[in-house]
Amino acid sequence: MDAADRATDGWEPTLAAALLGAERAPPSQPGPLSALVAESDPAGALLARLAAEGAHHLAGTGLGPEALAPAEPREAVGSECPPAAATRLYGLLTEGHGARGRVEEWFALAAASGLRPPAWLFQALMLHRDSLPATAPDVVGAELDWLARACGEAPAETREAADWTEGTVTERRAAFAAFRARDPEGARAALEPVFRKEKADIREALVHALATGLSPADEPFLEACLDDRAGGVRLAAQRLLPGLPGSRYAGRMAARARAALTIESKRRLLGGTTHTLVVTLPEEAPELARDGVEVNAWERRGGGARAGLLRAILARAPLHAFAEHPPRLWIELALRSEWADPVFHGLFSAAKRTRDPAWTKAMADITAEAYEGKVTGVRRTNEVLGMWAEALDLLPDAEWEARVGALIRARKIEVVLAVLGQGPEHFSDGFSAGLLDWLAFVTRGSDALRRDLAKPWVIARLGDRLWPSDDNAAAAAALLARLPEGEGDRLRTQLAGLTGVLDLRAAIRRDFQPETTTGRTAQG
Amino acid sequence: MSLTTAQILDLAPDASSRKAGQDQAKPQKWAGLGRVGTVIWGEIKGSGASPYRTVADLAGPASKCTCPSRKFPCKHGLGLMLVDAASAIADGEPPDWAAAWMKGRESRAAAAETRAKEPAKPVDERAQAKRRQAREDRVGAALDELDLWLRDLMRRGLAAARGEPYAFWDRMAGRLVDGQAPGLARRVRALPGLAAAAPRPGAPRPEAALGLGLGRLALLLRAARRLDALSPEQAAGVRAALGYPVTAEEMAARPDHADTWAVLAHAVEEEDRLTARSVWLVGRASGALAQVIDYGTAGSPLPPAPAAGQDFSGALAFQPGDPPLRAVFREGRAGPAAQAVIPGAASVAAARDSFAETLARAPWLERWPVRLSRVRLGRLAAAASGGRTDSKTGSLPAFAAGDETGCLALGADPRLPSLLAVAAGRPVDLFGLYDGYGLHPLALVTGGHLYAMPAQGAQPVLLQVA
Repeated sequence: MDAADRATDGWEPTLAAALLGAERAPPSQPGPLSALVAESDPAGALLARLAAEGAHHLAGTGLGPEALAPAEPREAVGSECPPAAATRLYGLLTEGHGARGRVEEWFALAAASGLRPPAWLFQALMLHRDSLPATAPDVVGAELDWLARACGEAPAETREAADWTEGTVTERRAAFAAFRARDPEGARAALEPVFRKEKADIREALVHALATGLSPADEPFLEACLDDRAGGVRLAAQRLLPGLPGSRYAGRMAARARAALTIESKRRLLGGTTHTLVVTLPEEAPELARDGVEVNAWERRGGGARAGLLRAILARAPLHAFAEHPPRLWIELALRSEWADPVFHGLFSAAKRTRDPAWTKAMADITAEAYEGKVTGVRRTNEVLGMWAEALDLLPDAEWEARVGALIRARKIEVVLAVLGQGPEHFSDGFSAGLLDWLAFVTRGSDALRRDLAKPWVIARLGDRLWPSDDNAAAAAALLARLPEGEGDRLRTQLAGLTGVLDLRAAIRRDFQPETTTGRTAQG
Repeated sequence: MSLTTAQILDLAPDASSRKAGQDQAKPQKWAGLGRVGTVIWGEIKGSGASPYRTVADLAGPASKCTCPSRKFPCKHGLGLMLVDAASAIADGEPPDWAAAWMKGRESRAAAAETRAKEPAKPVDERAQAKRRQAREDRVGAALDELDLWLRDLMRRGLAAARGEPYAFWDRMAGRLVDGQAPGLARRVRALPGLAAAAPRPGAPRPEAALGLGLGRLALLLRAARRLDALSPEQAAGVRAALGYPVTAEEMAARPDHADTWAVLAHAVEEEDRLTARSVWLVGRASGALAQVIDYGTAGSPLPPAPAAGQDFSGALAFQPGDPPLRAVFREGRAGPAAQAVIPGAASVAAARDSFAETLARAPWLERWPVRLSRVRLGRLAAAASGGRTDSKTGSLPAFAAGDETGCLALGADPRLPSLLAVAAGRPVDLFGLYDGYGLHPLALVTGGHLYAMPAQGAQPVLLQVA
């Protein structure tokens, strides 16, 4: 770094002498600068030498052109995003963890429009590299790799086709899952011979990894896992087996479900049939425990320990066990029965696992009718409302929006508030506009309506889910502006949260639309 | 005229007000927005009972707000300017309070002008001469003491001095402050830091840094003893380095240097309880370099100055010194940059020659601005750093800038990767301070844009300012 080795430079010997001190240093060698030193006192002379040589040395330092290894030129891959979008991204990055969702949105938009962040942001992105969303490598990965190389960092190792037989538990699980995704049959075939020699935690992790590419061919192996020494392995197998409707496990569960629930039909005198649901609560048994159905001693919800067993059995049973009657009938009778809660929730879990359209639709229909009081023998309770909201959540997003949209138009406030807690992550544009209209209607209503609106604390979270168009953001802002003065803080805080988030999301989108920006500058 | 968002954010006194200012930059939060010329105003609801009234002058940039924040500019001032930067605020009739502020500013400026024009109060020549003599005597005594102390250090050797506690250096610095030589005191106080610093790329080894620092002190001491032998400009430079203030009469007599001065960068440093802001300018016609330093404290904020990337069309007055660098603003106004270039940029060899020439004229200088033209950035090749230095630099990457005539190491700075990223491996123009070992970059021109290091904080970005 310093050109101290050059023969003409007297700096290093002088510095060495100064470090030793005038009392111990050897007398100076005559040099080109020694004529400048006229002091008689040895300390003064050394100081003068140090000063003269130092200035001389500083004026002559420097390196030749060969000392520089210039960074390789970076080729621009795509066009840069508008400056407003870049500033926005930097602001979001400095905001930290709270803005991660927005950073993700930013990168999704950038990926969609094929734009890339400008170079002045690369280092900031590099510092946040570990927390960037999954879409970031497509948007800025090449640039960050280039910068890492230019800064002399070792290139990130690419661990493709890692060996699943070696490493830590997480590494092996990830590698095995990748193997399984490439070749499900081969992966299981490779696992079976060595499985018994592995330690319990590894066995557990590997059985969990079988969830990728699960097929009926895995059934014998998983069935064997039910008798494994380790509880974790048994648990993993019990989790996976209900997903295979043709398995022995599913057959056992179907038989138990049929034993527990039967529908008795009586022909009435004047035509038509009455159906009653006969529930036989199951007994605790070792075979049940082997299949993962055990008594929870602390179970209080829904009728006690044996009702808990019933719910667990129904939840693990394949839906074909109930094929002899239509789903509608099962659910209606379940709601009416003495054991409504365990039976409904058991069937609900079974339907949730497979997302069977007939069952989910039937559930949503019946619970809706039940809450509206159209099913005889079922009272309108909050439990039924909760079941309705859960059942709606199983529907596809479009179907959910259609049904909730109808509820909104019907101004069913308590129902809408209950179902808004669940449902799709992101709403469509049309549904968002309808929802905002409804919010405007409710906030302009009576005090009691506003209190109801504020109570379940669902409004604030809507900001993340509404469609982030400028119109919607403006509608939300108008909501807040028109909120009557003196309104309690609860609703105002929630609406302010909604407006803030929605505004930011709309602004991020606006940043990416260069037409409007350039249009404005052209005018101004 | 308008400022870009990045420039406004750089005005923020710290990171939290930068973020808070961005939060206030939503037009819907503001009421009664309006503008007359470069002055904009608006009202915003804060935590106080009545809305805060904020008014800002973009030409300053300056701002005033009725909020109780002691930060300057406050988040509302920043927010107001950001609102204008996002989309220009429409013209309007100023409310009383905004008009009063504008009027107050005008009358204050006018008062300062009349004060400057007023004939100076009659001075008691004899008392002044007596005071001056007393100061000369005290400085002379302090110089003697420093000389003795330096010789003592050399007798014992620097290896022994490196083990001394901070109090050892601080005591000598304190005596120099008492002796009314604050410039020397600052240099002495910096020595323990040099001796104790970890080895870094682009900097001399700690013992060499200490030796060089002592050498500069000795040279300054010698020059101060022989002021009569120096030319008046050189003598003034030495006196400034010792810490003599430049009087208002002296400055009033200095000639104007009219030019279009390109503001390349701002650099803000905290010097015990003071905020020192350097504005670096280069004359577009003359190619002359100038550094305008302003001091601010918690109570009195920094005076407004043209932002990096702007052009200051008008006159500067240089303080006496050789070579001239320190200057103050005179008449003139700030406007958008004519062209994003670094006037007077030259090759590495030429920059090194001019640095050597500067050292020949004032060998006690610590740093000097250099301008490099079409240099490429990269790392120091392993062969160049050599086995010995390489082991000392440890894992820190050693960056450098160079062309076919040579290269300069870059001083360690956490923001260097940003510089590299913006340069993208292509030749760029670079402006920075050189200390003989490392170049500390402040601004960079590439692709027709000027990028400046953020003046405050360690933001890992560069600002595109023009």
